Order: sequence, then C-alpha cells, then structure tokens
Amino acid sequence: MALYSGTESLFAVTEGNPRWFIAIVSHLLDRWTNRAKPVDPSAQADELAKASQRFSAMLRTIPVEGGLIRGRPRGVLALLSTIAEWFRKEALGSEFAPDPRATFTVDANLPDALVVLIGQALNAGALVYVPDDNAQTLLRSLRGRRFRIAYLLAARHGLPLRLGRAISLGVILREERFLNAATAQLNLNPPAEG
Amino acid sequence: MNLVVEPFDDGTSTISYHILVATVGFEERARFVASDLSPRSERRVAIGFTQGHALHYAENRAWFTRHDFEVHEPTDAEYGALFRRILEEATVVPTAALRVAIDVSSLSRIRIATVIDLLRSTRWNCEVVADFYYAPAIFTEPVEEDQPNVHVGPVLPEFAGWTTEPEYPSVSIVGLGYEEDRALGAVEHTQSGEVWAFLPRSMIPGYEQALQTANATLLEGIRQDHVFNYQVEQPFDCFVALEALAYGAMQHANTVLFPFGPKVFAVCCLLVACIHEQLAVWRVSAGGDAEPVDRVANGQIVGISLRVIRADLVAPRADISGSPAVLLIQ
Repeated sequence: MALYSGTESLFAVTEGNPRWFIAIVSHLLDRWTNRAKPVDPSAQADELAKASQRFSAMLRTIPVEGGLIRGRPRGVLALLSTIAEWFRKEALGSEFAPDPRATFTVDANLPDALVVLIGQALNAGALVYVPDDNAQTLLRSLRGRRFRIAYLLAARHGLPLRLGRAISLGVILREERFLNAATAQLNLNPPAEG
Repeated sequence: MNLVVEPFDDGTSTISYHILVATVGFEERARFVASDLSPRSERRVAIGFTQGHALHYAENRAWFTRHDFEVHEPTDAEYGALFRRILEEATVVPTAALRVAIDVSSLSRIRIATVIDLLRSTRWNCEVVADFYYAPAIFTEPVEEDQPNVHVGPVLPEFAGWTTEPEYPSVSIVGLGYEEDRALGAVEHTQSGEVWAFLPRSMIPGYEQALQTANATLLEGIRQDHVFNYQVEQPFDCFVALEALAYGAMQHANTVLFPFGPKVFAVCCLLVACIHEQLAVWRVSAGGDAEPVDRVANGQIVGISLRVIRADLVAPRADISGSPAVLLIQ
C-alpha cells in the first residue's frame, strides 16, 4: 500500500519517537538488498504494519486501572480499536466524506473509568493531543480536549495519515456500543443482557 | 539455606511422599497427577480458589474429597500461610527429610512463586525435598482473548529483581506460549533491547504450528541464534540452559524472565531467580477475568526437584559433585 510507504509516511508514523524510528528503519535496512534502488514500497508498508502490530501488542499488555464499562473491564487496545474502526468507516465507508472526521473530543460527562483509559492511551503514545490554536499545550484535564490516534496504528486499521475534523468521543462510543446508548454513563451493575 | 535443584530420577515413580499438595482447578487434568501419587502419599491436600469455579471445578473438588484429600479454598493472599502451616505441621515430628509433591499443572503462577519463595526463605526444622510435578496437556485450540490484563509486573515483590547498574539496557528472556502476541506485548512493554526466546517442544502434535502462528511477529524480529528449543518433558535440561543464559545476560543487562507457556517453565524461571536474585520474573495476567480453558492431560508426568537444606544442619554431600544438580548457597 503506497499510503504507508515513503519518507513522509515514515516520519508521520514514527511521530518523532526515536525508538519507533530506529526499530522500523533497522528492519528496512535489513531488507534493503539492492542498494541501487529504494526499499520496495510493499516492503516498507509491510514493516509499518508489523510495527503497528508490535505497538498494538504492547497496548494490549497495559493493565487496566479504571473500573468496569458496561459491566466488564475494558482495556486500552479495545478502546482504541473501537475509535479506529469508527474512523475507518468514516473514511472508507459507503458514503463519501470529502473531509472525514479523524479526531475526537473527550466529552465532559464521560465516565471516569473511560477517562482513565484515555489517559493510559495518551501516556503510551497511542493518542496524540491536538491543541486548539489558543489552548495550553500542558494538559491539566482530558475532558474537553481533542485527540487523534497515533499514526503508528493507522496501517493496522487502514486510516489516512492526516488530521481530520473532530467528533465527540461519546458519539463514537455509543454508536459502536462501547458505552450504553442512552446515558453514556458508567454502568457498574448492568441488567443481564439477553 | 542451601538449595539443590535436581532432575527427577528414574525412581521418582516409586517415591512415597509425606505430603501431596494438589490443586483444585477447573481443568480436567487438575487431578491427573494426584490420581497417580495419592496412593503413596501420607497426607493429601488439595487447594482450590475462591473464584473461577468453572468447567470441571466442582467435579474435581468432589473427586478430591472422595479420595480423602483435605480441601481448602483460600485467596491468593492466604495461600502462602496455608502452605507453610501444612509443611510446618509435618516437621513437628522429627524426620530426616520431609518429602513433598507439588502438582503445578493447574496452579497459578503467583501461587507457584509463593511456594518457591516460601521453600527458599523459611527456616525449616529439617531438610525439605519438593518435587514439582507437571502433566502436559493434549493440544487445544488457543482462544481469542479480549480480556484486558490486570497485572503486568513482577510475579511477586520477592521476584522483582534488583540492580546496581540502572543504566544497563533491559533484556527479556521469554518462554513462548500460544496466546497470540502476548509475549510480543510483554517484550514491547519493557522496551527490551535484546530478546531471547524459549520455544517449547514436545511430542504433542498441534502445538508447534500454533506457537509459530501466535509468535510470528516476535520470532521474525529475533535473531535465529537467540531462539532456544526446550523439551517440555525435560525440565531440568531447560533449567540448566535457562540458568546459563540468564547468568550471561545479567552481566551486561537488567534481565527479565517472562514465563509464558507450560507451567513447568515458570518453575524453572523461578528456580533460576532463586540463584540470581538480580533477575526479575514477571507475569502478565487477566486475573479472574480470563476465559477458562479446559486442558486434558496427555498421559505424561514430568517434573523437577528442589532440595532445601538448612546451612547449619547440612553435612558435606559427597554425591553432589558427580550428580546433575546445581548447588546454590544463600
């Protein structure tokens, strides 16, 4: 996939993280057999996909610190996959969106357990803060702030490497049934589901 | 304490035990070792769990009760005190050596660590010989896991390791299991600069392909000479290789052992960490939220032995130098 190859994509995907950059470039150099030509674009895309898989595996390992969401513990990777899936449908769904939404804003009324998860994802580098023009770059609260998914996860979910318009996180999570549809509130003792 | 790690010798199948400690688990194999050892064990104890009473748990509990096992169901926090009390009661009566069989097949890693830590750190009245038994299971398909982890870190604080060289890079020595990308995630979590993998081999068909599939990305990124194959049926050989590798790695790195895969590999990791306390042994666990998976014994029984000798009671052992054993002095 040409989208996930080339220097611009490589720089975007590694997000300025030297560890990610070294890891990916080391693997690319291993595959650079014909020094007269660039590394094959499909090999580049393949390495980015593998880096994305390694990062996802790390995210899956992060232990949960928040409470139950819809009566069950949910991890960082489950949250990110849910958001990414919504963005994938927005960008590649049956209805063409000339300017697809690819960032989200954390609603003020989201459950604390969910905000804890977002904080864990942010600390792991899986979410990137997108400050508004006049906003402080130092985060004191996650509520009301805008984020995007790290581009390293883009290849795994088929997402474009671009900043898009924002949408409420609550809307995404209700539509994807990650939260209760009616309230978007933490449900510690849900009724049995049929 | 002097600790001696030994292989099971040919006579293990006829040894009588003062105590047999089994586990009431939800796997069908939870009673397989016990059914073999109970006729030659004086005191029989089966320890269960306060949660996770799924699959064969009730059936196993009834079996243990029917076969004159004392059945206890402590929390993980209570497990150590119970285990210690059982052994201390047996050593009230003077005896040359207390022989204990411990079935780790259905025992959680945190409880295996608790047992090994107690054995090495308690001042017992006599020599204690602990035989760790393991029943390999026939192949079952790995389950798709979506339960998040609740614990990622040292299996117990006593196995957290320590270092005098914090600037050293970290090295991971990973026993591979067939849960997809679990080992990969652990290695990425610790941002290890170097990774060594222990790949279990056994006579049981099915595992090899599942292991390769589950760990494909991790194995692609590891140099071929950093992958060790070990036979599940020969845990002592695995222990020796693991000890040699860990000793070498800790000379230039802070080393973490990840005992995924068969429980008997976890025993080996913990025994190695008893020798080299700088080593950390970690566990990655979804706790009680993990989906229970049944395991059926394949008919084999394997194991490894730990002899615990109080330093002030020990007499020179002429037979150690010539035997395949590792003597540890603490």
